[in-house]
Amino acid sequence: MEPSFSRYIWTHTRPQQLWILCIVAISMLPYYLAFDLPKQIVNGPIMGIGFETPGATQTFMPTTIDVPWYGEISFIGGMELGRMQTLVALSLTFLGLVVVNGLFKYYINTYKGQLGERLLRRIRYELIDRILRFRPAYFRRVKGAEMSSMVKDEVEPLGGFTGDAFVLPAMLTGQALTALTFIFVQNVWLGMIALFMATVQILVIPPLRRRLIELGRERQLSARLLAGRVNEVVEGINAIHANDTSNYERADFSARLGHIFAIRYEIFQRKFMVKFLNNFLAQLTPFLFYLVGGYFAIQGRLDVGQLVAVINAYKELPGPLKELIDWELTRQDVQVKYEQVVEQFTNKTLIDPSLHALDPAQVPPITQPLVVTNLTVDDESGARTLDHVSLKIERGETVAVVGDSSSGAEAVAEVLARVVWPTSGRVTAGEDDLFSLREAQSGRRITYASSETFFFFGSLRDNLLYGLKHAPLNEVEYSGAAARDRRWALREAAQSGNPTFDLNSAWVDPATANGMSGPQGISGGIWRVLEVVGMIDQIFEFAAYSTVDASTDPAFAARIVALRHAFHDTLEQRGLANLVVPFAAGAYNSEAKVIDNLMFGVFTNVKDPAGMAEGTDYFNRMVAETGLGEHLYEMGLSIAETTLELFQDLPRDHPFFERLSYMDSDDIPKFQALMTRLRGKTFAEASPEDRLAIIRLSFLYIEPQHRFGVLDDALMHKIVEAREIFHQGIPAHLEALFERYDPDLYLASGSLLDNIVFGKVNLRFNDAERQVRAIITELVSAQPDLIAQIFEAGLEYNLGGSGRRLTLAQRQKLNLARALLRKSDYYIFNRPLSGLDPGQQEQILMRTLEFLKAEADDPAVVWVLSSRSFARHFDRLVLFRDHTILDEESLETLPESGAISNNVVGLS
Amino acid sequence: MLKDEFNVLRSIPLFAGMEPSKLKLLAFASDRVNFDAGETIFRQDDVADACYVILAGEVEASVKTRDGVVNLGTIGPEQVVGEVAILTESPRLATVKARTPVETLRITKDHFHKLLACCPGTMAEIIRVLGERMARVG
Repeated sequence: MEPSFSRYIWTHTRPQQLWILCIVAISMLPYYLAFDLPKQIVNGPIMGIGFETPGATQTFMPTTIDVPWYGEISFIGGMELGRMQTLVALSLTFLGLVVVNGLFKYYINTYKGQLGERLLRRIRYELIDRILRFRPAYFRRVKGAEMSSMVKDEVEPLGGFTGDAFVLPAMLTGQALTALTFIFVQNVWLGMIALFMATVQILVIPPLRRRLIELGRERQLSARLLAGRVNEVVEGINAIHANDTSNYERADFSARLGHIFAIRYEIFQRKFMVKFLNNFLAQLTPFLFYLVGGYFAIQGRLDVGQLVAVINAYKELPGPLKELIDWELTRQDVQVKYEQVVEQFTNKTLIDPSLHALDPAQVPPITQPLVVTNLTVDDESGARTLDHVSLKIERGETVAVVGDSSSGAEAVAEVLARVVWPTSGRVTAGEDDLFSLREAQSGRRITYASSETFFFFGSLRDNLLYGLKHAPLNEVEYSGAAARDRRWALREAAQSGNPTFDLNSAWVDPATANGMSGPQGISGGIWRVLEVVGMIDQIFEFAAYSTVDASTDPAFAARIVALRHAFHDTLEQRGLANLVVPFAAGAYNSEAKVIDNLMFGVFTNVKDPAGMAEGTDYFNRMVAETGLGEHLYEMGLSIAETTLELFQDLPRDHPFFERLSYMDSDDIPKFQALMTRLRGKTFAEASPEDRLAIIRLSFLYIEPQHRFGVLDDALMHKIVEAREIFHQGIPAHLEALFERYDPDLYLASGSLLDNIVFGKVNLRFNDAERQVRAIITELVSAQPDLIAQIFEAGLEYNLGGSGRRLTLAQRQKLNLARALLRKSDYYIFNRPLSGLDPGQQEQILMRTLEFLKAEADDPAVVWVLSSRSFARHFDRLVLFRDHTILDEESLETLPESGAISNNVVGLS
Repeated sequence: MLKDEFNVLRSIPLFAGMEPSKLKLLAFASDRVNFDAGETIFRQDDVADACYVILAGEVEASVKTRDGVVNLGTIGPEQVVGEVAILTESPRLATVKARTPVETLRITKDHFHKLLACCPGTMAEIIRVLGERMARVG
C-alpha cells in the first residue's frame, strides 16, 4: 500500500477525480450567474432602469455568444420583452438556475460520497486480505480486537476525505485567488497586505497543528489498545472472576480512560487555541486595511470607493482561506490515521498472493512422500522446539508420533500442517517445497486437526462443512430483481478492487469429501464422520431441544404431531401412561405450573414487545375479572409464609436455594418486607404491585414438587374454568400472537421434545425421563426418513461464538469430524482428542483409521498420541525426546501388542 | 404433603435430634419418588448418592455373600434405607427392592450432609444408628 494517503487516493480514483473536477468547474458557471441575476432583477424591472419610457422593451438573453477559437453559438434568445415580462422571465431564469445549482450540488455530493465509500471498501478489503495473508506466527503477537478496531473504526474517516481530496483545494484555491486578484487590481499595496497576511496564516497555523497531529496519533493508539483490552476482559472473564482481579482490571481501565481523557482534553485546548489564532489573523487584515488604506485615502493616494471595494472583496477571502486551512488539517489528520493503520499491515512477511489464487479445478494429489530434512524450529522466544529432525512419511502408512509435550512431537505436526514455519531445514513433497505449494494444494491435500479447536459462529452443519469450502463451484443463475442486484454487486466489487466470488454458489464439492458418495450425499457424509467420533446421539440431543420452524416444512411438523400421538398410544399400551401427564383440554395438569394451566399456551411473537405487553395486560385483566386473582393471592400469601419460614434463617448462598424455583435468595428480604406490609390487609386493600408480586408466586407453583398443600381440587377447577374464559375472550389481533396447546397442532414455540411429549414428565416415577426417552428413540428408529429429518434439525444447532455452546470434548470430536470429511493425501492429527478419557480416545482412534482406510485414497496418517499404548494401531512409531527423534521402529514386525507398549515404556 | 413428610421425618430416630425448622427444609429439598412393586431402589456395591425414607409400602433388603443371597427382611413405612452408605461414603451395603408399590422421600447425600453441618447434636444419634446397622449387616 502507498505510504501517502493522497497518493493512494490518486492511484485508485484518478479518472473519477478528474471527472468530478470538470463537473465542479462547469457547475461554477450557473453558480456565478445565479449571483449576478438578483442585481439584474433589482436594477432592471424593479428599479426600472432601461424601462424609463412606457412601452420600452429590453432584449432578453443574447442571440449569439462568441466563443474564442470556435465561433458563434446561436441561442433561441433575443426576444424583446416589456418591464413586467422581463421581471417574469428573469425570475423564472433565477428559479431555473436555483434548480440547476441544486442538481449540480446533489450530483457532486453523491458522486463524492460514492467515491469515498468505494475507496473505504477498497482499503478495508485490502486490510482483510492482508490479515488472511499474514504468516500464522504473527497472530501470536496481536490482539484480534485491535485489528478489528483498525479495519472497522480507524479507516472510517478516510472515506469521507476521499471525495474532497483534490476537488476542494482546487475550488477553494480558485476562490481565494480570485478575491486576492481583485484586491491587487484595486490597489497593489493593499493587495500585498492581504497576500502577506494570507501567507502568514498558511505558514503559521499548520505547524501549530503538528502537536495536535501527534496527539491525534496517540489518541488513536490508546483507543485501539482500549479496544484490545475490552476484548481481553470479555475473553478472560472467567479467569478474572476466578482470580478475583476485577478490581485490578477496574484500576487498569481507569488509568487507560484517564490517559485517553488527558489526550483528548489537550486536543480540545490546542484546537481552540489554533482557532482563536486563525480568527485573530483573519481580523488583523481589515485592521491594517482601515489603518493603511485610511492613511492612503487621507493622503489622497487611494479613493474611498476603492477602499470600500477592497474591504468588501477581502470579506470573500477569509472564508475559502479558512476552509483551505481546515482542509489541510483534515488531510494531515487522515494521513496520520492512514499511516497508523498501514504501518500495522505492511513490512510483515506476507504469504505470496499467488499461493492463495482461486482454483476451483480438481487439485492434483500429493503423490510423493513428505520428506522432512534437517528441520529446526525456534519458537517466538527463540527457544528451540525442533532440532535437526529428518523424517519421511509415505502415502498409505500410519505413523504414531509419541513424546511428551516439549519433546518436539507436537512441533513436527505443526510444521507438517504449515502452522509453524521452519527456522531452517526443509519439508518437501517430491521436488516441491511444502511452504511454496499453493494453498489450494496444501490446504486440501493435507488435513490437520489439533487439540485446539476453532468454530465460527453458526450452525453445526456449516462448521462441519467449513473445511470443504475452497472455491465456488458454479455460477448461480439469477433472474429478475436478483439478477439486477447481482450485476450491481459485481460492478461495485470491481470498482473497489474486491473479489467477485459469490457466497450463494455451491462451495461444497461431494467429490472432494469423504463419505459423501452414497445416496444421502452431503448429509450421508456428515452422518458417517459423526458416527466415527461418536457424536450421533449428541446430535439427536441437540435436535430434541431445538425449536424447528414448522412453517417452512409443514410436512415435518405433521409427522412430529403424528409421532406425538404414537408416543401417547404406546405409553397407554404398555401401561406406562402415568409417566407423562399430557396437556388435555378441560383438565388441570398437576405437573405443570399454575400459569401454564391458566394460559394453556404461550405468547409467541417475542419480537413484538407492544403485542407482548398488551397480551400480558389482557391476561392480568382476565385474572382479576374472573375473581381468580383473590384466590391466587391467598395462595401466594401462604406460599410466601411457608417459604420465609423455611428459608429466612439460611445463609444467602445455601445450596437449598436451588430448590426454590419461584424465588431468589435475594428476594427473601423483599418478601419479608412485603409480608409485614400486607399483614392484616385484605386483597382489596393491597396495592396492585404488591398483589401482583404475591400472585406471581402462585403462578410458578407446582403442587407435587413443592407440596405445600395450597392447591386443592376446587381451585384447580376454577383455574381450568378461567382458562376457557381467557381463550374465548382473547381479542383477534392478540390471537395471532397466542399459541394454544392443542394435541393436534405443532407447537412452534416448543422444542421437538416438547412437541413429542406434549405434557410434563411425571418425575415422581423413578426413572421416568429415561423411560420416556427410550420409547421416543424406539418410535423414531422405526422411521428412517424421520430420523434423517430430525438429524438435520440437530445439525442446525448453533454453536455460539467460538463454539462455546459445546463442551471441550464435543469441540474436539467435532474438530476431528470436520477433518475426516476432507479427502486428503496426508492427515496430521496433533493430540486431537486430548480432552476425552483414554477409553473413548482409543475407540475413536480405531474408528478413524478404519474410516480413512475405507474412504480416502490410501492416505498417510500421522497421529501425535496422548498415550503410548495406542501406538499398536499404527504401522510405525516415531519416538521424540528433547526436540529430536529418539527412535523409530516398524510395528508390523512385532507380534504382540503388549510387547510394543513394554518396549516403548522401556525406551523412555 | 410437606407437613406429612415432616411428621414422618420427626418420628424417625435418625432425624429426631434435628431442629424442626431444618427438618422441614430437608423435606422441602427432597423429592418424592415412587417405585412399582419389584423395582430395584438401589443395588449392592453401587455408588450411594441418596437415602430413602419410606412413606408408604414395603421394601425388602438382601445381601450377596459367599454363601449366596441372604435376605435381611422387610422394611416398612416411617423407616429409612440407604443411610449408612451415604454417611460412611461407602458403596451400597445391600440391595433394596420394592415389595409393594412404594412411596419414598429421596434425600440426597449433599443435602443430608449440608444439614448435618448445622446440627451437631444429631451426631450422637447417627453414631448409634450406624453401630446398630453395622451389627445387623455384620
